[in-house]
Amino acid sequence: MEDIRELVGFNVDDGYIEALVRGYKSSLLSSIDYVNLTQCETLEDVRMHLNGTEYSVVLQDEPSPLSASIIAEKCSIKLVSDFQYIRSQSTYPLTKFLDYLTYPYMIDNLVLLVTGTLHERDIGELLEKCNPLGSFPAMSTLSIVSTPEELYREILVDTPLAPYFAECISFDDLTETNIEIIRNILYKAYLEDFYRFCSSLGGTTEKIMNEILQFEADRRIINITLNSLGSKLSREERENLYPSIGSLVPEGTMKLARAEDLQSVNSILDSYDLFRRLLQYSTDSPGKSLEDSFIEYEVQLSKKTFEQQFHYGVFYGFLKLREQEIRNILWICECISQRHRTGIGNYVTIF
Amino acid sequence: MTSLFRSVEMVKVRLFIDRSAARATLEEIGEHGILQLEDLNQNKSEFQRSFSNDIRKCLEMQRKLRALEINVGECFPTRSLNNESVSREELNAISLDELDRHLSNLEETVEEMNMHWKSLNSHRLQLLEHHYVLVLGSHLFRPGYLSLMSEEGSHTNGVVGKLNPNYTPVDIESPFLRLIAGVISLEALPVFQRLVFRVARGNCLCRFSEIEETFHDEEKKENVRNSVFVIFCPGKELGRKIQKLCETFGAHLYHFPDDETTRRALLSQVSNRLQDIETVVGTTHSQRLQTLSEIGAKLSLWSEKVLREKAIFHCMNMLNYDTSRNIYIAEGWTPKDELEHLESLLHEGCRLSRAQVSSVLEHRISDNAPPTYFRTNKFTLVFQNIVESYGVASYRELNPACFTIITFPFLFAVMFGDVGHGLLMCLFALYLILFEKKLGRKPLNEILQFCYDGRYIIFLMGVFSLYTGFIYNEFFGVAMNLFGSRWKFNSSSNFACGIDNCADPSQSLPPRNIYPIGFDPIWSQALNGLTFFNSYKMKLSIVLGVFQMVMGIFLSYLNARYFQRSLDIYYVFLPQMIFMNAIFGYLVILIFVKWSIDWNSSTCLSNPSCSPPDLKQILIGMFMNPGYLPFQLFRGQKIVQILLLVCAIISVPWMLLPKPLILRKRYKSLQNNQPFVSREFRHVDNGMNGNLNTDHSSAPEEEEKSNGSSRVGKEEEDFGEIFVHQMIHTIEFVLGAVSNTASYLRLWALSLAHSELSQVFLEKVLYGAMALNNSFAVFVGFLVWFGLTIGVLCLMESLSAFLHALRLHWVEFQNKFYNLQGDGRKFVPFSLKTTT
Repeated sequence: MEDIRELVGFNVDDGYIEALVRGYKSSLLSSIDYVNLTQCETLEDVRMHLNGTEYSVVLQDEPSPLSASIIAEKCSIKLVSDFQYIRSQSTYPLTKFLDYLTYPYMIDNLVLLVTGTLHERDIGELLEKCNPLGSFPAMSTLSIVSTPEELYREILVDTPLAPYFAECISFDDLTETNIEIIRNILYKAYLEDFYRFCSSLGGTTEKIMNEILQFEADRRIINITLNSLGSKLSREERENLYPSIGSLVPEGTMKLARAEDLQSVNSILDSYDLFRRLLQYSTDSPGKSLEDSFIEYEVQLSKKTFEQQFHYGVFYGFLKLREQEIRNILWICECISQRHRTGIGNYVTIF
Repeated sequence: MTSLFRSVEMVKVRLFIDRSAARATLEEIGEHGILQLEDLNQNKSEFQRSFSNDIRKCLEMQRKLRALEINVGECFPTRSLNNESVSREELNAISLDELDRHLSNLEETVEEMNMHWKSLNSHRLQLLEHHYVLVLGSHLFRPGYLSLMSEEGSHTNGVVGKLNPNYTPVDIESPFLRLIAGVISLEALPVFQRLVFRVARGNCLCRFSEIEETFHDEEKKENVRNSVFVIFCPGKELGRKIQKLCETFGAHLYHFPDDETTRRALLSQVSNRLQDIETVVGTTHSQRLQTLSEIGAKLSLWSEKVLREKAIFHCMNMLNYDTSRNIYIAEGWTPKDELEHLESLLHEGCRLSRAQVSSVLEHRISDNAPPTYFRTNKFTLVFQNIVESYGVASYRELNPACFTIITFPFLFAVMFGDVGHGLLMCLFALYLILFEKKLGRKPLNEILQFCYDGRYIIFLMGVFSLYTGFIYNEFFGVAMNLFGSRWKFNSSSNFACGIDNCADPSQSLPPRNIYPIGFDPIWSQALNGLTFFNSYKMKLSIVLGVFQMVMGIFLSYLNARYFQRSLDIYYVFLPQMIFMNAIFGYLVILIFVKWSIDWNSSTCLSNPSCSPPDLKQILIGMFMNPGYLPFQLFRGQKIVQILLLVCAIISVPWMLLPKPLILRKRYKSLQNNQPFVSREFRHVDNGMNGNLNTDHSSAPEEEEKSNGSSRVGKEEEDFGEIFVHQMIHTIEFVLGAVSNTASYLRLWALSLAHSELSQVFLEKVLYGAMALNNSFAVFVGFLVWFGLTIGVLCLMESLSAFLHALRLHWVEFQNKFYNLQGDGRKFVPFSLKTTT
C-alpha cells in the first residue's frame, strides 16, 4: 500500500527534483576521470581536465596560479549552488528534509566560530572557513558571546538548532572541552530528531534513511568512545553523549561506555558483523584507518540510495557523494602541488 | 547534382609537414575547410599532448578577455557586439605572444583602475553616509521628533526601550549614556534590531531612519538601500558590546557629536569634502569610460584571434611526429576532387612560413569507412538536414535528399491543398528569401529562426499547395468558378437536366464535356460532394503511396548494383518488388481501370450487372477466396489474380531463406581454405560500408583465412545474427507493405480535415457574421475568421501536415533502402569559419 502511494504520489511534488538529482549524480567524476587526474603534473593540468566536466564553469574564470584550496573552494561553490537550487525548487516535506541535511554544517560552523573566538581569531577569516551550506542568520555575531547561556539567548534562539541546545545551557563557560561536548550533544540531538522526522515520513525514505542514520549514529558512538579513552570524561558523561539510535543501542553502548582501552573497544565491536568487517578491512589494508573504512562504507550507502526510486535518500546520497568528490579532488590537488606522488591514489573512488 | 545523389568521393591522405610550417599550413587548410583530421594521439589524455601548453595559454587569454568583457559590459551595458567579420590580414597582423602580453598589461591596468575607482567610491560613500548620519541623526533627536516623524510619514522603526518619553537633549550629555550612530544595510536591519534588543535586554533606545538614496555597492555589484541608526545605551560595557555587534553586522559607525553646534560644523565640513570628492570621481569616471571603450572596440577582434589559434592548436594536438620531432604527420580525409587544392594549400603554408622542407602528401589506404560528405547549398541544405535527422548515409550510399526536394513539398501540399493558404505561405517564404541577407545578420527568436532556416522548403510547400489547391479547387475553402461549372444547365452544356434543375437528383447526368482542370466548383455544394472527394482523395493517396514505395525499393536496387551486391539484387530487391507490385501495384492498376471506365455510358446503364465494384472487396477476396470474383473489371482478371497471389506467396520465402543460406555456404567454403573471395560476406560482416577498394581488401582476407579456424565460433554467431537479421527484415517488409500503404491514407485524412476545417470556419464564422447584417458583426466575424485561418489553418495545420510528410519520408519511404546499417558518419572538416 505504501509502495503504491509512493508510486502514484511521489512524482507530483518531488519527481522533477529527484530527476534533477539523478542527473547531477550522473555527472560525478568516474574512475577514468580520477585516473586521468592523478596523472596530472600541475594544477593547470587538473584545471584542463576538469574543464571537460561540469566544474568547467566555476574554474574557467579563475586566474592562474591556482592552488589546491582554490580549486576545492570553487568546486564547493558548485555544490552549494546546486543544493540551493534543489532546495528552492522543493516543497514540504522535502524542504524540511533538505534543511535537516544542512544542520550538521551549522553545528560545525557554530563550533568553528566559537572555538575561533576563544582563540581570538579574526571573525572575517573564520567566516571564510565556514561551510556555506550551514550558514545561519547572525552567524557573524557569534564573536560577541562569552557564555553558553548568552550563546543560546542571543544567537541560537533564532536558528533551528535552538531545541537541540536545551541541555547545554547549564554549562558555566565556553572552554574547549565544553565546546566539544556541546558539539556532540547538538549532534546527538540532531541525529535523533532527524531520525524521528524520517520515520514520520514513512515508506522507502524511512527504510533507507534509517539505515544511513543508524550507521551515522554508530559511527559517532564509536568515535566518541575512541576519542574519550583516557580523558577525564566519566562513564555517565560519555554515555550521555551517545545518540539513542543505531544498531549498538542499547547493549553496545552500555559496554562501550565502560570500555577503558582500544583493545576492549575492538572486542566489543567484534560481535557486530558490520563493524567486524570494517575493522578487518582497516587492519587488512595498510595505510587505512577505521575512519577511512567508515568513509568508504558511507560512500557505499550513499551510492545505494540511487538504486531505489521515490524516496528522499537520494538527496542525502548526492550531497555526501559530491562532498566526497570534492575531498578527493582536494586530496589529489594537494598531492600534486606538494609533489607527494606516492599517496595520490588514496582517494575514494565513487563510480 | 551528382554530389547530392551520392556522397563525394573521399580519399585518406597523410601529410608530412615540416615542423616550422605546421601551424601556417593548418591555418591555410582550416581557412578552406577541406580536411577532416583524424586524432592520432587517441591514447593520450588532453594534457599530455604536445600543444596543451599553448592551449592553456589560449584558455588563459580567453579568461582575460572575458574579464575585460565584463568590465566593458558594466560601463556600456547597451553596447552592441559588432559581428562584422574580421579580415584575415587584420587577424594575422596580431602576434599571439604580443597579444598575450598586451592583455596581461590591460588586465593589470583595468585592475588598478578598478581598485582606484573602488577606493575612491568607498571614500565617497563614507562621506555620504556620514552626511546622512548627521542630517538624519539630528532629525531623530530633535525634541518632539516622534510626532513630527509620524506627520511626515517617514519610515521609522519604533522606539525600543523604556526610556522616559520626556527626555530632553540634555540627557545626551550624561556620562552614563553612550551614543552610537552609523549606517546599516536595510536587509540586515531586522536581525540587527532584534539582537540589539536581546543584548541590551531592552535597556536602550534605537532610532532608525531609512536613506532615500540607493547606494551602489562596488564589491557586490548591486544596489543597496541603507538606513541610519542611532542607538542610546546606558553603561560603557554595554556600549562596547553593541559597538562590536555593529562591526560584525558590517555597519559603519560615524562620529556623531552630542551638541548641535559641533554637529553643524562637522556637517558643513563633511559636505565640503563630499563636493571635492564628487569632482574627482567625475573625472576618474570619464577616464575609465574612455579606456574601457578603447578596449571594447578591439575585444571582438582579439576574441576571434584567440579562438582561431586555439582551434589550430587543438588540431596540432592531433598530429603525430617522427622520431626527430622535425616532421609532423597528419592524417585525414579529404574530398578526392579537392586533392590538388589541398596540395596547393600545403605549398602555400610552406611558402608563408619559409620552411626548409616542403610538405608531402601521401595517399593512404584505410580500413575505416570514409566519412560521408554532401556538398549542399543554401537551398539543398534544409532537405539534407531533414534526411540526416533520420540518419547519416553511409559512404557513397544513395541520398534520398535529392528526391525529397520535390516529393516532400508535394506530399505536404496534398494534405494542405488550398490556393489561399498556399499563397500566404508562399508570400511569407518569399519575404524570408528576399530579405535573407538582412535577416541572416541579426539573431532571430527561436520560432522565426526555424522558419528562416526552412525558408526554401516553406516556399516550395507553398508553391505546391497552390497547385494542389487549384486541383482541389479551393480558395480559403471557397470553390473558384473559373471556367464555369459544367454541371449547371446552360446554353453551353449538353444535357437537359443538371443538378440544379432536376427534380430527382438521381436523374441528373454528368456533363458531356468536363471541367478543364481540377474539380468542378459545383461539387463543394453538392450533397454527395464529400463522398466524391473522399473517394478521389483516398484512391489518390494509395496511388501516390505505392508509387513512392516502389521507387524506394527501386532505389535499393541502385544501391545494391552500385556496391555490387548481387545477393541483395536477386534475393532482396527482386522478391520485394514482386511482392509489392503483386498486391499493391495491382491495386493501383485496378484503381486506374476503375477510373477509366465510363460507368454512365448507355451500354453500362442498360446492363444491370455493370455497376462500379468495391476495390477493397476485390483485394480482400483475392486472398480470402482466390477463385471467386464478384465483378470482372477486365478479361482474364481471375487468372491474373491467382497468378499474382502465387507470386506474392512465393516471394516471401524467397526473401527469407536464400541470402543467409548462400552466405553460409560461401563461408563454409572459405573455411575449407578454398581460394574463394567472398565479397558479399564481408560486406554484410563489416556492415554495409561500401568499401570498393578491392585491391587492399584482400590483405585482411588473407589474414582471415590463416586464422580462420580460431574464429569459427565467432563466425557461427555471425551467421545466426545474419539469419535473424534477414528474418526481421522479411517480416518487417511483408507486414510493412500493408501497414505502410495504409499509412499513406493519412494524405487523405489530413487533406479532408483541412478542407472541412476551412469550410467550417468560413460558414460558421464569416458567413454567420454576414447573415447578421450588421457591419460591426461582419468586421468582428472577419477578424475572428482571419485569426483562425492564420492560427489554426496556416500554422497548426501546416505544422501537422509537415510532420506527417516528414513521417512518410522517414518511415514509409526511407526504410525501403536508406541507412539500413546506420553506420554513416558525417564529414566534419577542420574549418576556422565554423569555429568562429
